[in-house]
Amino acid sequence: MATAAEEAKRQVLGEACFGDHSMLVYRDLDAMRKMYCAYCKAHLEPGSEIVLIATQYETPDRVRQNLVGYGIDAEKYQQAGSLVIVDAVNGYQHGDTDGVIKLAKSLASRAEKEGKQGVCIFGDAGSFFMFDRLAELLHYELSLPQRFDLKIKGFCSYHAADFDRLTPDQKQAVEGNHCRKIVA
Amino acid sequence: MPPAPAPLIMVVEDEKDLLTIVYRYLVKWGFDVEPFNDPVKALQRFNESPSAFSLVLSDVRMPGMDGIHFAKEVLKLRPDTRIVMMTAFEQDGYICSNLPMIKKEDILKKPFRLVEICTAVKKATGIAI
Repeated sequence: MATAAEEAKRQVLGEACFGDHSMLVYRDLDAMRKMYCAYCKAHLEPGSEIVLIATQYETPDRVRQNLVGYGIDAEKYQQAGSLVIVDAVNGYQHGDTDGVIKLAKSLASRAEKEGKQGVCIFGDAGSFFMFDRLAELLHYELSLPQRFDLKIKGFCSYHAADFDRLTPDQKQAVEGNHCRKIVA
Repeated sequence: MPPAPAPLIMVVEDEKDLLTIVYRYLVKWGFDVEPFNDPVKALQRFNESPSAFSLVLSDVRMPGMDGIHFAKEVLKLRPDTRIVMMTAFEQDGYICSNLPMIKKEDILKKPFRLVEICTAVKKATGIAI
């Protein structure tokens, strides 16, 4: 029988498709690291995708080090533009809540021009909790479709301790606007 | 006369590995340390006996409760609590504007050398160990 972590990995790596707007609730940083490292290993090395990671609880440099530790030549992919790592605070809170999704859309256009399948986003929502902007979080989440009409595969990522700060109604609203909820 | 008890330091850090390292190091240097990887639990503990702690050493970006919110709640419980913030991100402005009693030069930047932790704790507590 598959563990919760194995099942989450199966859904992230094998089930989610381009166009899917999924949510990923992770219990700790180690679980999140395993997800993005396994995803990058599977999709960066064949050169088939662009991966965008908006990180909240680790610095972009730390994410890069984790990928290197997983055997991924992160610097090579960053230089080639197929791996983009940003601080989620800059991506969501500096003037424009849509910063990450706008970046993803621009990367999706580039992916198409380069003959790649599309762009995958791991966007951590923690900065909305950090700045007590839960109304803005809900507005942002509900502004996104359950399915993108672009070659974007989105994983809105929530640390379980953050997600638990939402009321039952807020949780239901967020969950209802994603095509799947993955618990890692 | 019995020796004075070692200062009690509360350390709050969501990265378990780093928390363990800081905990061991401070204990080695003679401090009593209560480590927490969950700021909500740390706040509950602080609320039980606010005067017990000589210093609170806290990360900034933590899930469940941001370090700034945590520090503000601690200060509500005991306004003269000495607090040292540690962070891997460039967010001195965010920290200092929300916690005016913290000076930019007193923010511990990760990754830090362990001796820097000890120096910062000694400076903040004013206690020679």
